Amino acid sequence: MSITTMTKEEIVSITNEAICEEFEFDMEKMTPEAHLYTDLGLDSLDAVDLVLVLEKAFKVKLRNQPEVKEVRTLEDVYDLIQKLMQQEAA
Amino acid sequence: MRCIVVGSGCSGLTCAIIMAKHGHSVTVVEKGPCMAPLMQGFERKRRYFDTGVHCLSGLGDNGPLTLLFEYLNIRNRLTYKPFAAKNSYTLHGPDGFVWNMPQGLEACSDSLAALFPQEAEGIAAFLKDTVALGEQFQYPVLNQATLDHPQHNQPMDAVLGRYVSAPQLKVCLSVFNTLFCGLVDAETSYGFFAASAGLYYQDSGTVEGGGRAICTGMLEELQGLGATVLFGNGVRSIQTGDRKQVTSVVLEDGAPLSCDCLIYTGHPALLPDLLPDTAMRDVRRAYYRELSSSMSLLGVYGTIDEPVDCLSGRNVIIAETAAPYDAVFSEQQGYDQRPMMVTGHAGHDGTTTFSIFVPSHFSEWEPYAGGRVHRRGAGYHERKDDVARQVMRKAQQYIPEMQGRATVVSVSTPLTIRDYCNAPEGAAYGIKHSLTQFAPTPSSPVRNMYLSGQGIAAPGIMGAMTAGFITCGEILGHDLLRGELQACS
Repeated sequence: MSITTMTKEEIVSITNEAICEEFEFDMEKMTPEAHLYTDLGLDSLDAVDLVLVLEKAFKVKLRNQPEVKEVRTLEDVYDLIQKLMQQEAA
Repeated sequence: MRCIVVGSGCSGLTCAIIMAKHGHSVTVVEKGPCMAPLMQGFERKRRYFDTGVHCLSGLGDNGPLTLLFEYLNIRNRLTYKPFAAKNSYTLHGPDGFVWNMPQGLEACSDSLAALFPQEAEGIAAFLKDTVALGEQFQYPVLNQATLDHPQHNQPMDAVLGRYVSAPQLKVCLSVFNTLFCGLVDAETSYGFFAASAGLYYQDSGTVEGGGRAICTGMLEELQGLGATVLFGNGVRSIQTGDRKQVTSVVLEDGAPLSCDCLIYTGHPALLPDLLPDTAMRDVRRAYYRELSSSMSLLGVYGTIDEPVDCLSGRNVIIAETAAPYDAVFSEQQGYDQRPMMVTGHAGHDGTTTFSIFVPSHFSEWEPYAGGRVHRRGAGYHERKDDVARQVMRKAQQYIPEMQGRATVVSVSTPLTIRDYCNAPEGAAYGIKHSLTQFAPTPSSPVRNMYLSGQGIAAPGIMGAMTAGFITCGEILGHDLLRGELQACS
């Protein structure tokens, strides 16, 4: 499945599963408003791992996207992936 | 604090001196049979050949490398020898094009403007901007504003294209990217280029006694500070406690060594195998393992029994193929079609030693790897001799003084680099600092374990030393270290 054909729901579900598996979180913690640093307890090194996890899950390059630095909540993550998806489709 | 430094290369020795200077008890552990195998070079037929140190930059009176030498207390043990004022490098480009690169930013700019008068303005602006950015990118003065520079993360070739247009000129202005970073222009960020290769347009030279002298100076300093250096005994495994902290290492001879802090300067790909599986997540392990490496090199070393003017304080770069760099570096190209650099040293007895370096791929030499370290497969020596002949033919074509007088005494391949420097795939410049991959940071998922080495900052002596400062800055505090450095100037 190419990234350009995914719905928001699919993005949410793939993101949550990938993060939970890698960071060993419970799925209940994965609410859109969950803050990566204060709620999920990620630090700056974990943030790099998060980018690596998402790149692997979606087969995209996230590291060159300036918006990556602005990401704070899970919702921000979903939005960024969706934005990349729309850019690729355009 | 008991601090173990894994690897005795330029970064490892830098870290060791900084930590010991701050009162920590330091042990350097080296797997190879001698200290700093790359930086030290080697001896054949009673002649010394440099392997890791050829062209240095930033060694002028207030130069950034001078400052690091000063801090490490090795400046007064070394003698700087700038390259020839009018022709430090002679670049032979396609179709008989020749550029003699002088010392000094203005002279350099003028010499290119004489060859490309219609682009004089672009040349001057590019060199001025690049050197200015390169100076801001040095550890003692680096700040967020520099990192946020709009051109920092743009590809080198795109930035260069905004200043100048003639293809020959572009080769002149980016040749050090390939030579000293091991990268092609499309994959290099302009900021990285400016920091590591840009300063060569201002000054360059070497030190008396080469890499061995630098290594000796650092070792003397370390001994004075009471640090221990072990060699011929690598780290077999790193032990972590339940709180993801390093507690000790086990050496190859089975001896345990406790520590409170560990600095790992080896290739990041080799790190996961030293750690227990629980020390880091799968994605991090895969990240370290899959970091792509810079290119490897083939080296041809030899002697000439008389002085050779163009190899005395001077270097010759042969880049005659006009094909895109990616194609020039591909393994389909014969060795005589690839760019190469010839450096020389005038001996006191009127003789000359020379080293020639040519980009090479590990895959070309892998079939000869053989089953054991330092034991090559059948046909290796024949292949090496054949390639050396091709390289020498090309070098002699451009340096007629070598004809009939040069004797090859040694040839190194990517397999040599792999085995002597413990570098996967013979990577000559550490991991690739390209726009398409995250460079590793000194901090690691294991709280008191830090990474250093060419992979952290940049390649070369300046890059490796800078990495040492960045890593120790993470441990001791960047403000403290920067303050101490600034006090040295």
